[in-house]
Amino acid sequence: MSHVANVEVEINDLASLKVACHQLGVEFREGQKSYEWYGEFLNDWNSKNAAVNNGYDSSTFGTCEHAIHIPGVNYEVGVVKNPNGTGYRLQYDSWGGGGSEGKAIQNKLGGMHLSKMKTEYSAAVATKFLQRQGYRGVVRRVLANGKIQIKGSKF
Amino acid sequence: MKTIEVLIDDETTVVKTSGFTGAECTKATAALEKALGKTSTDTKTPEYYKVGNQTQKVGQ
Repeated sequence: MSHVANVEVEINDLASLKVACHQLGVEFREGQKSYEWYGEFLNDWNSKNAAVNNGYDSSTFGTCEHAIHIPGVNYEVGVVKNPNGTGYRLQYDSWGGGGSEGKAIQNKLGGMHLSKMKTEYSAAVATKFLQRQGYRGVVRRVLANGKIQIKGSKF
Repeated sequence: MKTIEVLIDDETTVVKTSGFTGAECTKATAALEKALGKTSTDTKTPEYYKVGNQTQKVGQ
């Protein structure tokens, strides 16, 4: 199977993506031009999440600008150029190896849409912004409702 | 004291501000919203027109 998924997040700041990777205990592999996946597109998935339905040519699957490696998992997440503009998006094979490889990625990074990676990326972007704008005491907290709070103040 | 608070979950990112005057708030958060993603809602409360709080929801 080759269920290469597009993740609906626009990455414009690689430094913040690196911070998010660190928070989640995964490895950002800068400059790695390929990511591990099934290796062949079988045209066997027509979900709205499928990369082929989000502007990507299947001939480019497996290629990327950078990659994210999860310790103990063979398949990887590709950081690929956004076909609709500037920046990057995340792409990975959500099936693979009877589903176990894709599932392992989802278990670590927050499901089909890699929600944990998206929230940690946003948290890193917000933290960096506030610090650069001169806000003091910028803190990151995980609230009881599960939300990540980034807060800072200045006169 | 000007404060910016960002609340992030799986679905949305909400930017809350306090202590800003009028459009100063929008100016202060515009770059942040651009970095975080497209603004899905931008509700200006009555406090927008004076010193006060404002909440903006940013899509992910």
